[in-house]
Amino acid sequence: MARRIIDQALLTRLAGLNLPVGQVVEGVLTGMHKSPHHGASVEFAQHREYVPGDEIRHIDWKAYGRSDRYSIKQFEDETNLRAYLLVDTSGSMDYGRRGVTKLEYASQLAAAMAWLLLRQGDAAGLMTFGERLGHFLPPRTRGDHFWRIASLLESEPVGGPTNVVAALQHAAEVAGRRSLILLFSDCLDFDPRLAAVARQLRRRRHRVAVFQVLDPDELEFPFDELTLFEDMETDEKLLADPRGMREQYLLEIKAFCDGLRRDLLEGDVAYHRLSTAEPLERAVLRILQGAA
Amino acid sequence: MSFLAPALLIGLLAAAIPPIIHLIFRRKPKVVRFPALEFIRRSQKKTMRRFRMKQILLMLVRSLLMALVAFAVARPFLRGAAEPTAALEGAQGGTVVFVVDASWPMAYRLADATLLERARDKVENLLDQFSGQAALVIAGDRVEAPVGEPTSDYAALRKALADLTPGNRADRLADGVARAFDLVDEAPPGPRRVVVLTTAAGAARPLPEPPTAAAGQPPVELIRVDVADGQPVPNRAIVDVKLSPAPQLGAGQWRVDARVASYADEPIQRLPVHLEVDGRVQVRGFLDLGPGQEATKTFYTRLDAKDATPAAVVLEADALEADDVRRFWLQPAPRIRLLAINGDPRPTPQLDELFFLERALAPETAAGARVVLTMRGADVFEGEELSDYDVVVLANVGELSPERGRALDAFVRAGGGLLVSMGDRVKPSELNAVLGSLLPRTLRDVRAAGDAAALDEGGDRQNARLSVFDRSHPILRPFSDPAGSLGRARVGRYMLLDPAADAAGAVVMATDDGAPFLLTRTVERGRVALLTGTLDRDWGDLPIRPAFLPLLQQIVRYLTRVADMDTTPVIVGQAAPIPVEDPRVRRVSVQGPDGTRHLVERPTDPEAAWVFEATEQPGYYAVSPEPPLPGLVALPGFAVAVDPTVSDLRGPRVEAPDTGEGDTVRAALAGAAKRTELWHAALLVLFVLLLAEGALLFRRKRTQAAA
Repeated sequence: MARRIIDQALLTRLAGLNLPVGQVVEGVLTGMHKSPHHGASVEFAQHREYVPGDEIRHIDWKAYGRSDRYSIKQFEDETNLRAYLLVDTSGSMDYGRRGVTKLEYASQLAAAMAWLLLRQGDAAGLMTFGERLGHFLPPRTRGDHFWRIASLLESEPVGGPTNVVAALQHAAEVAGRRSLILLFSDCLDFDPRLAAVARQLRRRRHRVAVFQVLDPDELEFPFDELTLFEDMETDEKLLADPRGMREQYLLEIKAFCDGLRRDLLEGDVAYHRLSTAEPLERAVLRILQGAA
Repeated sequence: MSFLAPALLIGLLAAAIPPIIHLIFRRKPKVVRFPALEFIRRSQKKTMRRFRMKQILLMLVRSLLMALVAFAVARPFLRGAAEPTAALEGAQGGTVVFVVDASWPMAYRLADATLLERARDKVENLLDQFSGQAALVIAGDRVEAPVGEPTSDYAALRKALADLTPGNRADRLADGVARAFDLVDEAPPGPRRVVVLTTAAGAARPLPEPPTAAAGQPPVELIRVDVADGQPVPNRAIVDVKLSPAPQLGAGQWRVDARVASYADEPIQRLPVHLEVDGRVQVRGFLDLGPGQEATKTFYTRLDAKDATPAAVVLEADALEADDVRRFWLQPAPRIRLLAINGDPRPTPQLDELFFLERALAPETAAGARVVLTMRGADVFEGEELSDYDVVVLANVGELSPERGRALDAFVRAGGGLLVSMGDRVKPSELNAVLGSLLPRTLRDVRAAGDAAALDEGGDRQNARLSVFDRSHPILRPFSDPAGSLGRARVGRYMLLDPAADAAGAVVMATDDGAPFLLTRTVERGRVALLTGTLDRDWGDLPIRPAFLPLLQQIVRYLTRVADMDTTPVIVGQAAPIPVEDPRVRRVSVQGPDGTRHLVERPTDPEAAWVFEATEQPGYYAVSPEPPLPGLVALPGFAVAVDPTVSDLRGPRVEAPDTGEGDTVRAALAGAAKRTELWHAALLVLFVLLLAEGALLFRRKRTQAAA
């Protein structure tokens, strides 16, 4: 069944916002994303309907004279930022006892990011992956590219193990020049090379941001009774009494996340940890404001 | 370890309830598909063992809690390793003879049972666990073996045990053990034991040694059991009562000194004690007693009755009542007929020879004796019938006819008393001639005290003082300090006596010159006293000294053989002497406390004393001539008491080291003392386990809350 990832209200609210890539990828408030050719490229791309929040100066007054509707002119900017959205579709991302799964949350977040990027004229592409590479949509700046991204995110099958490192390496291969790589995953493949590969991407002048999406159950481990835990990727089973191990579990996951964050930040890779319990809009705003 | 209520140990099954509950309500695991399985696996490695341990610990604690409740309710107790009867429990075969001490201290009530009842219970318990030949010896007022030879018919033993009552004696235990050795000696081969059940003090007393075993036979084992199991057995007792006249308080007054002993480790404050006379409480008082100490309570009472009156000193009753009362008879003072011959009558009373004697023996001052005083002049003495009197006093009598002398000699030899005092009228040669056979020494002549020079100087130096006293003499026995009282008297002159190496008399007092002042002599059944001074103030000031009064009374009592009331108790089982002086009495009737009458015939040997043997019960024994004689309705009775020397029921101090047999006894007693009830400890452990369970639960809850 297709996931519903497009929240029109959210997209509307995000319409007036720009994605400050520097904040997203560096986690610090360094100012607005400054594109040298922002919104004024030489190659016309498309018109889109004006929405409140768009700058007045971008309104195509000629088109207004023709159609009596406010339209914004958009241009293909070859020099603009290319963003690759890497979305983890492994089995572990299908977890969500409280309504929304991690994949849905990650997809909505990725879509929101794509929306923002495309809205500000940047090119956005999508790459899904599990153990292997899934589908790949090369970065485009066209407005309708968002719907292709959204469509793919909604229909992408979920399951199997994860290989985040392979996905990043593949992204590094396809991203020829300086690009923005946004990874949406729970990062639970425990591959020790993840930070190294991310750093490697950074050395190739790519900007990399990792969005670790976790369920509140993973963060709080709220189980009380004797439970047979079943791995979502390998179907491995483990009988455990959560009462006696909660303390240790919380220590373990905290240590893992903190270690991941430290390794990534050391490699100049941005890291954002997200809980699916957090409203998406607030999460996006938090990310846009540069908070981890 | 043993249990007072072993049936309740079935409750130990409750220990299985927690595991059963666990098994019944064991939950089926919920299946959850979870992404972060790796973290669970890592956590489980580190925590699962600890968690499982905690779970198991919690279940164990809960099981233990249930078991401990059952354990505590079953009243467990530990027997010391040296529990004397441990060898008997469950013993198969062999012979055992139980010697049950049924002496009067076994009536001691400890908690809700007497020691004798406890002994009975112990024997019954041991019989329950023993299978072999058993016999019973009861050491009460007599030694009895109700079933005789050792038998396997325990029913007969139990029946004999049911009839056990404490006796009145306390001297049969050794005989009982000897009897048990006789019984066990003839038993078939096998382990042979004699178990003595008695008080801690009884177990510590010397008992006969077991007989030497024949070759190949195991020796006879003597096991002493303190039936109180080492529990404290505090007791108090009246150990002695003394009666003495109290003339300073008036005629007929008696002083009663009751010595009370505490055999407890705690002090006793204001212990009520009272004096009963003729069944009525006369004086009440209190007594403070230190731990293990004795104290004396003194009562004063007046006896106006002419007949002997039963009296008793009674303590507030304690766990052993038999020794809380000491009975005795208050005897009316004997009537003494005294004939005083005045050798120097004077018209002025104060100068009369007998002025001071008359006042000293006046009825209102005499205690312990009623003196009927007859005074006669020396001139009319010849006509007096001496048999009407008990004592004759010759005061400053110059001369006597030989007939009178012979009459006096016969009077004294028949039991009369004679007091001879000196004076200026005395002619020593005359008296020596007439009374030579009676006087302790021969009179020589009058001598002024002090040496010749002192006599010339005059003044006080010529007076001698009394300085030598025979304190053991009955006359001086009441004087606590004769040198301080009689020693103050000054003697101006006295009659010198011939020294006689073979003299029959005893010197009671002498002056600092070394001259005898008061001598006594026993002549056949009578007694003679010789005072080398005067009864008036002519030769000294003794008559005006305060000590003169008791001295003269004592002399008269001595001469008539009236001693202080004898309150020495007759102990149960001992022969009681019966003072029968009247030669007319051929037989007396003794009525015991239970009203039984016993007849005692005059002893065939005229010199032998009358005794009553059947003193089997404590209490008053009244004695009367049988048949009653004119003028002699009753004779002095006596009281019988339990033996106060065994009132201390406590055993020897366990910690006191000793050697020899005492060690075995102490070990046995220490073993008995080691019996400790464990239910307190079980409850303590229960409490600790409850705390532990609470702590475990709290930890778990806190962990959950933190998570």
